[in-house]
Amino acid sequence: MIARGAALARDRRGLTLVEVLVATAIFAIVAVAIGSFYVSTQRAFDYGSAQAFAQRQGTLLQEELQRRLQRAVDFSVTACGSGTATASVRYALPDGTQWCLHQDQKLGDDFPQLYVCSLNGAIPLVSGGVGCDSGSARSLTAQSQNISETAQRLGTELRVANTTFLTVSTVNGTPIAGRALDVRFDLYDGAMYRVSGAYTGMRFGFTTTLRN
Amino acid sequence: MPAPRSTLERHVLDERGSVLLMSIVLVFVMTLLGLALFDLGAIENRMSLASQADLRAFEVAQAGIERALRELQDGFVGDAAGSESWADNDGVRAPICSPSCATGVYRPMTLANTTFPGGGSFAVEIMLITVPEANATSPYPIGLNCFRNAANVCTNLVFVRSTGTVTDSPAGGATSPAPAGYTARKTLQVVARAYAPSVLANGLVAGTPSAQQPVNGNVLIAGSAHVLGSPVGALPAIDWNGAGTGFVNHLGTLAPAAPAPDAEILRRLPPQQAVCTPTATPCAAPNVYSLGADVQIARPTATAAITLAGGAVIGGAAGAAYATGGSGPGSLAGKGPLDAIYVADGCQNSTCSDSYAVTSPSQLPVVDLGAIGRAYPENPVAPFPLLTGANPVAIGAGTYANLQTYFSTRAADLSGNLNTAGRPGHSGGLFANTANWNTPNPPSGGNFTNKNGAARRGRICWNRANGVLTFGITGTGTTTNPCNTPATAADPLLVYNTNAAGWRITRNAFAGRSSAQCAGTTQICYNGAAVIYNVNSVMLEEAVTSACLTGSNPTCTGEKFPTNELMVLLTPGNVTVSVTTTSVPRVMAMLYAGTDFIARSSPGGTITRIVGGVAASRFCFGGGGTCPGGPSNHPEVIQAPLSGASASLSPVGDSRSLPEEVLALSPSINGQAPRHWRVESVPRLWLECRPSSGALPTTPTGVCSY
Repeated sequence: MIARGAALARDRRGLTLVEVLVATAIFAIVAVAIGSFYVSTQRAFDYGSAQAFAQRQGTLLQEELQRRLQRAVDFSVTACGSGTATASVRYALPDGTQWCLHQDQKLGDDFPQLYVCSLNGAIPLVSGGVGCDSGSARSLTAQSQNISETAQRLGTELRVANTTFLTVSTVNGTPIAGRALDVRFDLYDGAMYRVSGAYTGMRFGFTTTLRN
Repeated sequence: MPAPRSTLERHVLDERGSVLLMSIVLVFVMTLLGLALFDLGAIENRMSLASQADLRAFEVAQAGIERALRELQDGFVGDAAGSESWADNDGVRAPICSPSCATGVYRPMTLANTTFPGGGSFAVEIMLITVPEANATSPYPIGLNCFRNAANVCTNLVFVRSTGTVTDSPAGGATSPAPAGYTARKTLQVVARAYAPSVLANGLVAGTPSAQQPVNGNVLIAGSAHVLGSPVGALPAIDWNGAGTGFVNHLGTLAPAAPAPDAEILRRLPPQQAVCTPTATPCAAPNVYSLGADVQIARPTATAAITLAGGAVIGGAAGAAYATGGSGPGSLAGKGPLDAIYVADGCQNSTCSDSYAVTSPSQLPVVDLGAIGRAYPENPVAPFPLLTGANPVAIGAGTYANLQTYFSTRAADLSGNLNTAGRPGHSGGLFANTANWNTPNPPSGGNFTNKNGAARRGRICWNRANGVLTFGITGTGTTTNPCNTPATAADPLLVYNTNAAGWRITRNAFAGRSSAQCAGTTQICYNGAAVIYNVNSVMLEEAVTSACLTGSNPTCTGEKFPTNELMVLLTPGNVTVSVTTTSVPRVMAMLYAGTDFIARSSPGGTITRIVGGVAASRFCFGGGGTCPGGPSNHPEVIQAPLSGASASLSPVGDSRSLPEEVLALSPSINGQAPRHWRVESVPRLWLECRPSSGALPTTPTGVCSY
């Protein structure tokens, strides 16, 4: 043992080229494996956190919509908000004010958002319905604080799609007590995993009954 | 001989342990990522649980509201008849607050069993409402009818606030969904209202017709209307055509400035309540008189439930300035919009418009807050309460199979005392130029039993000199004339009439004699309160009002209809009003028909005003109706104001003043025994509180406000 150690100590030859190449190749393979593992884990983390973020935002959005609609005294699934709104519902609050929830991509928006605005000015729309009072439209989805870190890092933002408002007026052909509104929307922040190119986000839906 | 290598060189060249190092680094990185993912999962789980706890807290708060409403109903129903109140702090019946319930501040309501096995509990608070608060929109947009007490507090209105709490503590339950360290709390606020659902206390109530519509023909209804039944065939429930028909929320057609004023009706009615119409801008003082009109039409759902043409209206124009009760505030106009309207499945929007069929959009209902899309609130629809069959009623301390059983077993049977034509009085009726007519003076032991089982002596007396029909009553042990002491609504004369001709007051019953009590007009006036059950039909072909001295009592103080003077005519058959006679200007009574209610004076005659409350399986009105046929005038059905509250006037009675026999005629909901009082959360005043500071305000102002 001592003799072998001494022999190595006396050996002044460097690493052979083959040894270096083999070591480099092994290191590269290991590094690529670790790197790809890291990247895929990071991506999974991003998907996970984006999913969690969208889930949370969607839940908050549902609660916000529910809070507004529950207190309404009346609603009507009718055109309102703007001529470019793709889905809208008009509702009245107990104080006599009129409001409109609508999905719209307004000037300056990169993507469609959910908006709420007041309708007390009774501004007629060319396409029918009533338009938002000037300056009253407020996005419920696109505020800067509603963008997750992941989405910010990836340069994306929250968006909605396929919003529907549906009057639930009958159950098995008989009237129900109270008035119910079915609300559905897709929410996407650009960072979630997309099953296909047609995927427009996590689908949220609820039915709320007007309490007033 | 090479020089020996340094320690550093040896370590550098020594490759042993590199795999371990790489493994450690890899494990470290993976651990970091794993921990991050785990943390993410834990956060998501926590958020999900918090969301679940929030939702549960909301539902628990709602459960607290429902519980409170139930307790309040039990308390109101459990109070002594005629003095039901949430403001009496009697310490026995709901609401029991600790300390006592009060106005201006929320007090905790004493309730047991407020926790749920699955986690969560609720705490309910109560605040009484004053008359000014109820009438005006400041600071709350209320404008509600209230039963006023001497302290100016509404006895039938309270604020109810319920806070649902879901904690992670053991007190929250082992299965509480709240994550560690999180407490979910939600607070809801409503206004609870007690009201009499009796079919005779709500303007017009229609049931299921034998054919055609529940309300056939034209009519103007001032006050509430409720249609429980479905039309036969593909017809609307209501089909009105012509000016002067529809629903209004005021007594404007009687006002001095109206085309056909009627001061005689106005002075006999209790003062109306003055309220603010709910708007975004509160009004500091009441600005309109309101009947609190609430229209509910249950069916049909597949086609238009209400069809309007030719000037028929639902709400809208304000009534002329006027007052009831004579003195008092008389400068206010009647309220224009209806308080609320509920029609079928509430289908009235851009994609669904089958609730109303109108010739012009301007004919759509004018209702508070523009809420025309409300659906009929009950499913299944309660059946119209009939007088016979399986329609139990609770009166006094007893429960009876139906109202006929109640009357047939205890009311005074005066059938033999009516003439052969079924008229009270002589063969010519209550004829002024014949002798006075009285039923026999009852024996001292009494001739009927009242709701509480006490024997009573009852008598009907007709005074030909002044045209007054008196419903008298005394206790037993005397032979004095009962007509010296007119019966009160709290202890009315109960009559069971089996005469084959039913009960008739015909035109020749009164020869046009004028009197102070009858205000110099051709009519019969009654004094006292009577509930008369007729096995056969009721026919009224003469004007009938409550008695009220003209000269000495211009405001009819103590002689108000229906709280002091009241005639209730019940029959399982038909009621006809002004069918064969023209110009019957007014009938002040509560009328119930088990089958048809027919009112159709001939064209050219005076419109008949039926004041009080009417109920029937089917209404046949003139001016376009087809049952039983023929052209005629449309009548007006006018609900008597029974809110009993006006801040500047003394209380003169409200729905609680009605006889229990009237209050017992209520629809049964979901097969439950009908109650005299129903309690509901007032629509438009439900609110989720969102206190910014974490502490709720003691009054419903600030963040948690209307």
